[in-house]
Amino acid sequence: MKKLKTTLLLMLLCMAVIAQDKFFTKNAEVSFHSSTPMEDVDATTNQATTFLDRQTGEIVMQILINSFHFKRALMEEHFNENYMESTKFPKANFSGKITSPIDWSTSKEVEVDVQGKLTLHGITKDISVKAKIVPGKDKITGTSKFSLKPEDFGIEIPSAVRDKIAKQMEVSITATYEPYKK
Amino acid sequence: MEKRKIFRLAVYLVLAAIIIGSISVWYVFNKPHRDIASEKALFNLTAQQLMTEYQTNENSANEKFLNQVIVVTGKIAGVKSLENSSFIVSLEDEMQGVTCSFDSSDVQKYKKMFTDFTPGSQATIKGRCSGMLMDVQLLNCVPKER
Repeated sequence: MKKLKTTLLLMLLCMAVIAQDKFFTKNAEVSFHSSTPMEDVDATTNQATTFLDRQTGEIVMQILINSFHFKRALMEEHFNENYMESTKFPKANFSGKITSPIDWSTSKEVEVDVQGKLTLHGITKDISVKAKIVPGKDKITGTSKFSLKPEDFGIEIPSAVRDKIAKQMEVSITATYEPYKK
Repeated sequence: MEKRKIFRLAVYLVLAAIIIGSISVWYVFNKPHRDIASEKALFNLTAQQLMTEYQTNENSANEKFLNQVIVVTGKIAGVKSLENSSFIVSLEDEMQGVTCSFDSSDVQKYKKMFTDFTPGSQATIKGRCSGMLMDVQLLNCVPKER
């Protein structure tokens, strides 16, 4: 946790040197979804903080778990208290980079590979996902859709409700990055 | 009492239990989200004080504030409307200050009060403390009269 914070702050400090390469947003949208015959699980947050460095292709993202909103309050409560244990593990972190070559001077959408470490529920795993990036001078849009298995992150789902919660969660991310200015 | 009468009474009691049980389960299943506007704030402090507590020791600040309803007062550094119609007010510092998020469903209700939210002016906001990323985050906020 402290390491990521230091990374974030270091990126901030480096901003002064090459200001235009650092992009950021505090309001990226992250949602996840799963359908089961019994009930759909849907949650969204608009408080994801993420940085993108055009020069290195590095991407970091941090989310407060309790900022995910569910339509059903009871589901939100179970999510925080029983599954994610968000008082013990308040944040989800991703730290990685775009591994495909990308021409930042175009403004055409390009599909890229992003690889990095995702920490969820206190457990860190390497993930590799596809993302779509639309570069721009004043705005960079990044979107990604991928699946995660709750059990990969030690998220225990009691057998009684197992059928209600699909084995995979479909995660969607939309981030509109703006130049970071200090 | 007759056996028959006892039997009937028993059936009625069981039925009543099932009905009451089902209604209770239904209520819990559909329990509403917390109504931050009606909850009493546990702490009342300045945005600067909140930021200092979190910057000094995030863990003890979380122990104190996480998921609690608090009221903060501070200088507005910036306001922003998001695509999903929710509204964001940053106090003291846009990047590392206190960020207050108003749900889109509350934006219409408090529209008049939002016109007073201009950068530089003071604001008092009640919300649920969600923790700290770069900034201290308050969710489900409602504006308060000063």
